[in-house]
Amino acid sequence: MLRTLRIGCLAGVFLTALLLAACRPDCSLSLQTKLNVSFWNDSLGRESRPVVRVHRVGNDSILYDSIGVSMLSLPLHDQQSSTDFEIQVFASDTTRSDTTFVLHVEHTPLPQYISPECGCSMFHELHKVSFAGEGTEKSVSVLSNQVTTDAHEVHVQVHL
Amino acid sequence: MRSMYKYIFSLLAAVCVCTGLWADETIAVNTPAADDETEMSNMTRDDRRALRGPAYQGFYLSADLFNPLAGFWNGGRHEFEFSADLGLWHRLFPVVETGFMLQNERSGQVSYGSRGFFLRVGAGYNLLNNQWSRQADHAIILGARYCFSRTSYQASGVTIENPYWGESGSYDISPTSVNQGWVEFCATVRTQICKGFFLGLTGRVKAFKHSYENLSGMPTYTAGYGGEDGDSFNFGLSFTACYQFPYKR
Repeated sequence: MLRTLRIGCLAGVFLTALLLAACRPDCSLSLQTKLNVSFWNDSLGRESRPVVRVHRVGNDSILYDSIGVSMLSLPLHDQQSSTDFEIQVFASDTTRSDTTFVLHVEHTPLPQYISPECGCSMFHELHKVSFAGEGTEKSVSVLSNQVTTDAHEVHVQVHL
Repeated sequence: MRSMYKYIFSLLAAVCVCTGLWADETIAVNTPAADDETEMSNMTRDDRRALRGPAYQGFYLSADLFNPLAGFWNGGRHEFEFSADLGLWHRLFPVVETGFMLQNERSGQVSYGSRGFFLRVGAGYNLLNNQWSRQADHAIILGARYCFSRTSYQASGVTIENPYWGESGSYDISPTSVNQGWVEFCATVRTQICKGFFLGLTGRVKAFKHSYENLSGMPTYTAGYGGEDGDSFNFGLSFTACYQFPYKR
């Protein structure tokens, strides 16, 4: 009797554990993938927080409207292999002038199936990041060429 | 995901306690009359070596019972795991573990298929090494492993929308293989149920995951590691049945 009871308890606990294994947690990942751009002040030797205005080339839709940011998060094309953004950097003092340049990004979109709970997202592999137009003396460093769901990873660093 | 594993672990810990108590009654054990520590300290080195016995103390083959059955409930992912470990002085347990994973999942318009294998190599140290536990080869083992996994995956019908650029489309993921490695820290409780047969419960913490190539994408579930939830570590649990090859005591 006692042996049967023990076998029943073990089987019941095991089956309960299996049923709990079927539980699906909610998605804890952000599906938005964006190119993160930070700014580096060469003369000060540290990250800077310039006031910028950012919009996509050929469209007045503004992403950042004259605000000070330490990092830009820019959405890339899913169906094209290059994306351009116009970035206007406002001078920090009256002795300098504002600069406007086009950030040109060449990338490969990579569709990803994250999980049944999260759904799908588009990753990007960066190939080339460069400037065009005014301010081309600025340099850019690619810190990571994988644009994924990690919202805190800095991919590109602009040297002002 | 962590809270789910907490509940599963607590339930299976209860299973292990029950099996341990059950095993304690079904196996005849000659418990020593004197206190083990006092008796050991009064012995000479040769006496302790004689008591410890030869180096080889058992070869164990184990198979995971939990994950193969969980595949019928977790949406179509079946994982199988086998291990072989050697008992040395009932203290050290070098171990090799291997397994494979099959996954076919359909969620809405997305059809996802994946398969992979993994290999773990490591060793464990038995914390339970008194005369009573050596009689029945019960063990509580803390161990570490280095793990390697190769996972291949593909998908179709992946729908992604980009509201900023006004883009929307359905994409296919061509067959892709990734090679990854990580480190595991594990704890195992193993008790003998009847002569030569054991039940074991192992909890794992998996960390320091890295890729062997410049990863352009990732599978939904990495064989042996688990799913990606944005954390730098992962948990694992296995409930195993084990056979011990007889050895001369």
